[in-house]
Amino acid sequence: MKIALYNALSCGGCDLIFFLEDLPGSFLEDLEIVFWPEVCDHREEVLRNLPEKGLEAALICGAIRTRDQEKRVLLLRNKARRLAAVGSCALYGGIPGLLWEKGEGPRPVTEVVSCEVAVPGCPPEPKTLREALEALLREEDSGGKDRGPVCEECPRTRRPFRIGRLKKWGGEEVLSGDCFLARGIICSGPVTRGGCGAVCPGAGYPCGGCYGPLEDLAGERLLSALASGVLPARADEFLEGLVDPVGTFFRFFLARSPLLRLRKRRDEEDTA
Amino acid sequence: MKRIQLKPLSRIEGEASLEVLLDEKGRFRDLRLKSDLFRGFERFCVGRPVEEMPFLASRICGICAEAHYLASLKALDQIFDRPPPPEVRRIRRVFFLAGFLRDHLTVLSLFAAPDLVARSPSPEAFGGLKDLGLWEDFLEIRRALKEILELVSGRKLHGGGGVPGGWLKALGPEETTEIKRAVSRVHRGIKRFSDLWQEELFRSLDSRNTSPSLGKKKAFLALSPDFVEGRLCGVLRKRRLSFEDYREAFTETVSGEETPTLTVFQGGHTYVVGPWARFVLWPSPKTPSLRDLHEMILECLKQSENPFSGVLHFLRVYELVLAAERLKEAVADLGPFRPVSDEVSVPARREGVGLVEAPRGLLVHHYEVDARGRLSRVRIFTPTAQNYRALLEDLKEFFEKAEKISEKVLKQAEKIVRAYDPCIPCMLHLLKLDNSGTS
Repeated sequence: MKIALYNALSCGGCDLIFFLEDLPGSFLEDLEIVFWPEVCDHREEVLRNLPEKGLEAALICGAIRTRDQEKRVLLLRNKARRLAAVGSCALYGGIPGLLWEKGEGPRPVTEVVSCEVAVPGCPPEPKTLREALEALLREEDSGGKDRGPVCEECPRTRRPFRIGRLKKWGGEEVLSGDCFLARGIICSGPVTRGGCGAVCPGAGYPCGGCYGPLEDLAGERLLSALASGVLPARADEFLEGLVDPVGTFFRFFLARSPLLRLRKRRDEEDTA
Repeated sequence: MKRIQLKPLSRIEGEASLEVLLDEKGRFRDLRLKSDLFRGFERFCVGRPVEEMPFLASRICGICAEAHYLASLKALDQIFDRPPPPEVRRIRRVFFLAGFLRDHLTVLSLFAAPDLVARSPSPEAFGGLKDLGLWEDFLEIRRALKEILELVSGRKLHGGGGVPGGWLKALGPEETTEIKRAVSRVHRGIKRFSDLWQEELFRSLDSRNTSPSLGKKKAFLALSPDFVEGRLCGVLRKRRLSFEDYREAFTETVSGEETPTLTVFQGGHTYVVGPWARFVLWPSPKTPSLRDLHEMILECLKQSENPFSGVLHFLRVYELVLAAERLKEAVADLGPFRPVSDEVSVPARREGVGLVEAPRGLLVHHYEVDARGRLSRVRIFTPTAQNYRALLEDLKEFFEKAEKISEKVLKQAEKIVRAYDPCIPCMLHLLKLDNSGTS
């Protein structure tokens, strides 16, 4: 199987190099790697010289910020029959998408080209990646859209909650085994799509939302869920504790948020 | 002026290209290392709660994530005045060393291997490693490291649990036993791995034309004698120095968006961080297996002030054994762990600095916060950015000596880049100094 791998604007953590020990041996043996700068000595010409759809598949990690990155991704779209966007940056802009709060930032790969397979996560859990690669080989599209929220996979005990003061962390809260939200710690689990196995809440820290929004307006939905749990008499205290609403509610997908489009429109109007 | 581009540079961490400029007669004039990986962490982290920083810092680099995480956490310990108790320090250390080993192992196995095998490697991906018969060992050590990281931090990469002075991932008795078992597997695997590598490296060092040489170095900087808890020390023209503050050791000269911050050693000297600096600054090891290896490398370095670039990979083999030893020591008294850290919401200090010896060398995270604990300034000095000047100087020296810039010469230049083991995502995340305030 002829394949290419490309890291656009990425920390490198979604590269297949990180998953070598998780992949079935047969998978690696069947691959004919045409372009993968991290492990082979091939230059860009190799890609350009390929016939159209000459690759069976290409995997793209990272987001897109420069014209060169965009051109490389368009080239891969042209040369590969099937594309997989791997990781939060490729799908939603990821953590570097927070740069948009300062006025400019990267775009998700999926906004530049269409991708048949989506592999969420920062980074994807090995199981998620394995399933996606299998879908890629079976020529099935896979977006993981049929999943419920992270909460459905979470080992912690769900409880109805009322929030007074927001907490940052605490050993007590972790050991209790209770839902973080019920303990006053913000967790993105309810609005984040599952598939990771709730590894973070299981390990004692709240979900950061790296598998991406379960539905549109996920950040707004989380805010709304929290707001409805706040004790009215302690609303000021709650707001005082909410130091970074953008980073908290849109941590991995600000680059895709409608809020951003509104801001861009406003900025453009201002300039006009 | 003619331009030759190596795009992309192959077998390094992250994407970069090398542009070589030649005059009309084809002689070397200048060179540039270019990359599109600017992500602006030092800018967008400003305004966010400082306790989020280890989570964000980990994402600066997927390759040395654990080093960024720990440096960030150490800065937090200072800001909240929460020195971690010994059991927390031990867990953090296990986390860091497992990441360190994975990094060196990957660099040696996938990036350096094809350059170092004396015979030409098979063209297939991972050919160098498969030719050496190390593929299965490589996967087995990686599996064990992955288990350790998952048990300690919840995930194989970008896991966590770090809070000021504490760690939130609990460890039960069974998990502790599993960690110890996995560490034994790592230790055994690394032993086999390094024995085979040593033979191969000696063979490749004998055939000297396979490895270009590096320039003479005057200054070195590292925490000594430990990756996590050492003191900042340096060597300048064979004189040993120690520093209370990293700012006494080096200063920034050029800082531009999308170019790395260039740093120079006190007095304006070019310096080196990483395995070479650690080797120069750390005391000789006492363990027999390490002592022999140490002496062999010392001998190599003594032979010439311009060591062959392959020697830097040899130093990585040495550090694999060293880090595996230290990991074994760290888990010797590891027991079940219950997180106790209580929340503190107000910073005790407005500033915190965290230093660690990342796989590529000294890593500095320096934060300033406001009264509510929001970041007002973030400065991160990565080892790749600190080594950047030395790398450029070595490349220039190499090209100036070359009579003709042929394909073969370019391949040799790429080996120099690989010897420094640059990490491009780490290097390019910086900002202009005049842009450091809140926006």
